[in-house]
Amino acid sequence: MNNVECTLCPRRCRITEGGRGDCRVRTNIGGKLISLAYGNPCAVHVDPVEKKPFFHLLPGSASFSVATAGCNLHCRYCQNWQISQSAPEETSNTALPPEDVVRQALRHGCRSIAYTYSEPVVFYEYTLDTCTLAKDKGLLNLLVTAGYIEQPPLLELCKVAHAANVNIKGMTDDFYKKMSNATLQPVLDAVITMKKQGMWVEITNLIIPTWNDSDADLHALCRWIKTYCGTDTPLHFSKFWPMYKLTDLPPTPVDTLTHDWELAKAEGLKFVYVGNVPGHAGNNTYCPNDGKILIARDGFKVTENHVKNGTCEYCGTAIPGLWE
Amino acid sequence: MRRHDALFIFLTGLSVTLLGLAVAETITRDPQQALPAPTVQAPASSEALREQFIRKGLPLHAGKYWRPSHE
Repeated sequence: MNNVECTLCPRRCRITEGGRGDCRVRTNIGGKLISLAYGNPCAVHVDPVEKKPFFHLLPGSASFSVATAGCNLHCRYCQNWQISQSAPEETSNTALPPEDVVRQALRHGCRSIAYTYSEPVVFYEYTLDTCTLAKDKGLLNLLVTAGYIEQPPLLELCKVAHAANVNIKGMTDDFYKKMSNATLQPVLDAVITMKKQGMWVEITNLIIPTWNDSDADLHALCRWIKTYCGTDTPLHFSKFWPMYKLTDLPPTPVDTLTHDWELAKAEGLKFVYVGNVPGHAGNNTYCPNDGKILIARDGFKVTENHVKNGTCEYCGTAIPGLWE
Repeated sequence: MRRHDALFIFLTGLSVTLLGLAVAETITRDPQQALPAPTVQAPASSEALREQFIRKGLPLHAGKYWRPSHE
């Protein structure tokens, strides 16, 4: 028996010689675990950092964004399923080693590198090495992740990553099991660890009609954030679009998102946003003290910025985030 | 009874008996035994796997966070 057990994520896949992990990018050759994703991205773009979304991090800046094939979750509504639910040999890839990612990011005037679109956990070694080089060059490392990772690899990654947007998909195991074939607790543990390790964390919650849009779901999410992350933690409610295996549901009504936005603010969260709805008042950042618009946005575009040296330009209230 | 009538009756009886036995065997046979013997395929060697991935243009980078599994 020449099997290996992958200990990167809570799935703990046991991989036979020549087999693949659940993520499709980790294999076993000769009794050793091999990554087929390293330096082999299938998506490389320069995006506004707001697209990730990060709303409290270098507003209006460009983020060099990379992804490989594969994911360790299998969300029925995945918006990037063409790459996340594929093996690396099924996508069109570019050879781009970590040093070239950093070089390209600097050449394009980016202030950060985002490990995004699919799932940076499954291209862990590529993420880790690129983060290390990028940090040395003064770039910020941004993880856009479902947070389904074991603690030891996460702790190592936290040393070189600056920020994460973690998608908390629902607040029950049942939801995770049915929608993503995963479990909730490791995700919550990952968020707590990121916070404790000093990373800047923003949270996204995609609102799926009839699945996770009850007031009880939203109260549970907001209360968990308040308790374990603090009321300063930005929360993004994102609009669902019928996609992949979940095409029998309508897009999230804007009224639902507005209701959720109000509910989260009433729960005491200071920075709540509505995503995928350009022009919505929930695109903007408001000062929690004087209520004025600090950062006005139209979709991903920053149209006004009144955060100066990390404070409200009008009343001097400190605004949490990575601003410089 | 003429001799060839007796032979005909004997042969008919024998055929019916053999047919019955064949049907009974088919009904009671373990379905697994009915399958053709599996072709034993030697597992691909590590070198062959390596070449297979390289041919597909995939990088082979040592992974972190794993351990041998004897299950």
